[in-house]
Amino acid sequence: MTTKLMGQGVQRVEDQRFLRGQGRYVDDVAVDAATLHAAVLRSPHAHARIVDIDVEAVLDIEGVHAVWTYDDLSGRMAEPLPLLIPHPTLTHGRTQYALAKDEVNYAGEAVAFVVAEDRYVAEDALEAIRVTYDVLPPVVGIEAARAADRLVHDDADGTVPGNVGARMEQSTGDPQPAIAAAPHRLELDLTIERSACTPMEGRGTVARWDPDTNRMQVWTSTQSSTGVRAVVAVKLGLDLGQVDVITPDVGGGFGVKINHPWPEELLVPLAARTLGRTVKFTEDRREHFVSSAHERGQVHHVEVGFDDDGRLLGLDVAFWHDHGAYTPYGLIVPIITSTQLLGPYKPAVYRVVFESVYTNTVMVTPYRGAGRPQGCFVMERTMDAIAAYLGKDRTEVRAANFIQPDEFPYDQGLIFQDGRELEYDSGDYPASLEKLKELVGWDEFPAFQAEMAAQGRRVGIGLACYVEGTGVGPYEGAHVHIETTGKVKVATGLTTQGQGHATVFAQLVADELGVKFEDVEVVTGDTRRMPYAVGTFASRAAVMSGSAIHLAAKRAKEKVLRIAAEALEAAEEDLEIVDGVVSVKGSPGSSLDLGTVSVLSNPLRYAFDEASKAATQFSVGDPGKPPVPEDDEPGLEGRDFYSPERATFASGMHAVIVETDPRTAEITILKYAVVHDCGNLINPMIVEGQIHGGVAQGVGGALYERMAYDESGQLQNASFMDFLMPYVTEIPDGIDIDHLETPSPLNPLGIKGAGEAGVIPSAAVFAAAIEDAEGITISAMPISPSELFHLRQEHSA
Amino acid sequence: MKIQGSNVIEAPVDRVWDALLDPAVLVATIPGCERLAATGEHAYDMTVTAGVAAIKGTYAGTCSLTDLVPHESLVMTLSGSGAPGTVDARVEVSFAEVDGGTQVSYDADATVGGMVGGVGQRMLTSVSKRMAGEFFGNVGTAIASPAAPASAPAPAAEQGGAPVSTGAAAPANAVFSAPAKASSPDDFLKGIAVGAGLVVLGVVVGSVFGRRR
Amino acid sequence: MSEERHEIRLSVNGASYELSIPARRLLSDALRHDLGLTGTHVGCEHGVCGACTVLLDGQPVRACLLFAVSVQGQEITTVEGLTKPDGSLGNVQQAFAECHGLQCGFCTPGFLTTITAGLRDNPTPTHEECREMVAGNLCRCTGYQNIVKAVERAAELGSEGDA
Repeated sequence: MTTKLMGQGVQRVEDQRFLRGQGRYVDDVAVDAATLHAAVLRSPHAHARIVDIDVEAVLDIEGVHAVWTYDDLSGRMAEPLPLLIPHPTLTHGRTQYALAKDEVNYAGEAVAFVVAEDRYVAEDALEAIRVTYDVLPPVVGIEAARAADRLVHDDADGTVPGNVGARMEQSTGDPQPAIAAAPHRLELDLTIERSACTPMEGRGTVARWDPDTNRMQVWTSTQSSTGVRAVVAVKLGLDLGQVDVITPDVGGGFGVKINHPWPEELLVPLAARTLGRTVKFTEDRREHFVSSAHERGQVHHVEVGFDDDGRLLGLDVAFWHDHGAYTPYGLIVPIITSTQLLGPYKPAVYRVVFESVYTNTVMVTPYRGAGRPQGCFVMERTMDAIAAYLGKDRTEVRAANFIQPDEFPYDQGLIFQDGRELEYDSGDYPASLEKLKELVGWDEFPAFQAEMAAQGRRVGIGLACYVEGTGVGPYEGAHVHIETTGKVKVATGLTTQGQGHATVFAQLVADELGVKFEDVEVVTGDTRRMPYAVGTFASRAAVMSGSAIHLAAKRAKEKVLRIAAEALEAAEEDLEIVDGVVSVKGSPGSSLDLGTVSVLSNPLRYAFDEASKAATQFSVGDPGKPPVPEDDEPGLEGRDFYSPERATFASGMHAVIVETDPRTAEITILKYAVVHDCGNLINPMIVEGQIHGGVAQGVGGALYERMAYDESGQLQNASFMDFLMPYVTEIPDGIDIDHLETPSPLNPLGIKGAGEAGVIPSAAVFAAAIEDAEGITISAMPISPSELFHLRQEHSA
Repeated sequence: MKIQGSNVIEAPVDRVWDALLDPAVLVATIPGCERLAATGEHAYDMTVTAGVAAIKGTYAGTCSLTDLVPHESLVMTLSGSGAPGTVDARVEVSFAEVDGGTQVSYDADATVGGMVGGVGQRMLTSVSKRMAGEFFGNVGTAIASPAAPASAPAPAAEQGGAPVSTGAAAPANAVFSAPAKASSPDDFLKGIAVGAGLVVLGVVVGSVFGRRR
Repeated sequence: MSEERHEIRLSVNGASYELSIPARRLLSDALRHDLGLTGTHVGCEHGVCGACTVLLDGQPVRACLLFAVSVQGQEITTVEGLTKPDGSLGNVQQAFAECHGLQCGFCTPGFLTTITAGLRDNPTPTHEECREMVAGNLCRCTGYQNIVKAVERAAELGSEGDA
């Protein structure tokens, strides 16, 4: 019996090309002197009216093929970019134009589009374009947005009063009476600063219009191939069937590449068709900072009423979400904050109200965690505050509020980001907490803290719990095809940015079909291979595509067994497939390899090789029956879709021990512990890698990363020199990880998503640990050593 | 696409008028013009090599002048095509005596098609204005320094003196060739001049490869 | 006005290439677009991330901070040059595969060249030295844990191979 690959740390197939430098990322496509290169002129002002654009000086630059502004766009291209996820409460949604029409609303907004022989010349042309702006005072920061002394949007396209794009409320009742009546009450004000995904590879798009077939081929570094395809078709006036979108290897996404279309994703295909040449756009790092997307900036106000055990009797949360200049991704991030704030707890009454406000800054779309880190920060700080107030252990207060294992499925009474009920399917929070306490040494810590204090050292411990709705719909699909060589070709439409999908999904197919792992090849994100798909986000790929692939492989296997049973004159139940060979159990001599089954599945008139002769009309087939039965199809394929009724809820808990230097306020991580429940694991090595990566981004977000906007709306740290992402030296040397597996009842493999988990509780857990070390309340993140230093000074003053 | 502009030529209006109606002058002053063949009264076939930045090539077109009100106004209609693009335009030209010379104003309504239309409106407008400026500068020079460089068929040659015989239209079928010119540093900018005098539409023309001048 | 081009000869991974390029062409762009060696990646173009790291006469350098015309006569090694002539993976590459030291693979070439040079200079690094060896390269996916393991494994493979 072969070992199942499910649950094995199989080495990745992708590595074979990546390690040899043979990955094919978008800028590696169409490397050819004939390819033209694009560059974008971006607004240097956060808020301004465009008075004039003068391109006269560009004429002196050799090698420029086009300079476009809004006036060159017509039809659908002249309309604003789509608002991807509308919501009834998003009453004042706004999206940008592909090229700014009359006004720019953030420094970085696209104003002109240049196509030239190469990127150097294109950038020369950018410098030669003279734009005359009428600079307007910008709105920067949530406070300024709320004060609304000035408006971000007040133009021919309409006014957004008060800079409020949306106001949304969800509740399970009115918590105020419960809070008033509660034995104890607290109020907290909390702030989380903006950060961003900053994958190592920025955005890019290549397009080629084929006049021989009237088709547009687009390569783009995206998280949704089908999303881009649909918009390109509509905007360029093409039929969907005329557009192919191929996602190349992607150097990281972390959420920023789910937003689409970027202006360039439309302008590049349009240029390819207009100029009759392959056109490529690859952004540089500064562009990524000022013209992609950010996330995380929110301000929260919490009112909570609780009893002597710290149980939440009433929780009332109001927050303000800074969504930047535009709202293409709707309200997904604040909706996730609203709902996932609840974590593993069950407050008796909960109300959350948020206002999503405009500022003249880069727009906000999901970044790993997508609003959950903010929600987790708020809830966990509240838990810690309650524990401090009551003088109780922080784990006890949390445990008192947990949803218990026997309460699943647990309906929180709210609507989640997928438009469906927020109902947790499975989990075991008490067990996770026990594991975490064990792993980090929670009970032993007070003694350790005292010991350190005696040496003049300050250490602190913190913990944070989270729940993550993963695997949201609407669906994903898969196609499995067994070729006459026995090779299995698998396609699913969502995309990959480093998660090892080709490996993980091949494991599933190898298990289900009984073929060798090496004989399975998986393609993701190519609309030619699987045109029905949604995308990679919300930690959904393993759940959605994993399930679809499993189901599609099952269908293919059913057909294999049916054909083989007939050919081997055996009953289907007596057959097994091992290493790509179908045989009668116990009779190894009676067997067929899958390649042969594939040959038999397709009745031929013409043989094309030795093996295929067996399927030709004089060799096989009952003259009394049609060669292809009425309810069947030729070929050995399986196709299926997975569409769950709701999300499946993963969970986890982190704990960290930090040391703060009494003089320099430097923060050192002594120990980082993770207990993680994502249901059944397909490849533990890959899951662990996701946790490592998430924790690192969490460390960055908690201690180093922020978007430093000045009052003119200028991003002052738009480079890696000043936006501080962690190197290995900032990451704990080793992370202790323990797993819990509460399988999901919602999909055949019992999987839950794992991609975002590592980053969700970071801000919370570091705030808690630093507070524990310092005895100073931490209510804003990130917190850098210099910020801690200033906090200390304020505190002692 | 609409383009307007005006240029001043330092010469009296009658000299300017005559110059702009003289094909021998035109072939020498229209940027990129290689060949001008008269096909009727104030009607020409022309071959112009022109381009916008990287897009250059040879372009064959026709141009005719109508609604002539001597020394005051005329309408020029032109149409042309090159490998990746086409242009059709109607240009209203008016002349006014001003201090120091003649102001020639143009108001063009043009349609640019094909690949070259993809260069972008502002590029087209900029090239047109630059070409118009260059053209009028050339005309001014041609009027001021009378060695008309055009080589023309037998009946037409203008040697020295005024380059134009007032009112004389070019003989039908006469072909004028541009004199060999030293290539100017910015010859890549030579736009198509639209026929007799004015404007614009720097546009177009052939793909860079294989057609580069 | 077209840019002056310079005729230069670059030696990359033991092979010689003739190029005609402007003075301002970065080495990273020359490798990628003029030579088609797209294994070297550009993450920031300001020398911070290390994704573009190649070896220049064996020393790690940021290809995005060099002009191609300035490295004539020097031996350049890119990630493509780390693969063995028979196509199999070199020690550092192999270690990364075993230890799951990469996810999206974009920063990886820079790590591979850096570590190749680092282990050549220090074939038996301590754990701390392994961390330091990669302290100048950014990775956004892996969180570095497995990269450090890969350095240690590569050192192991290196010493095994020397037997």
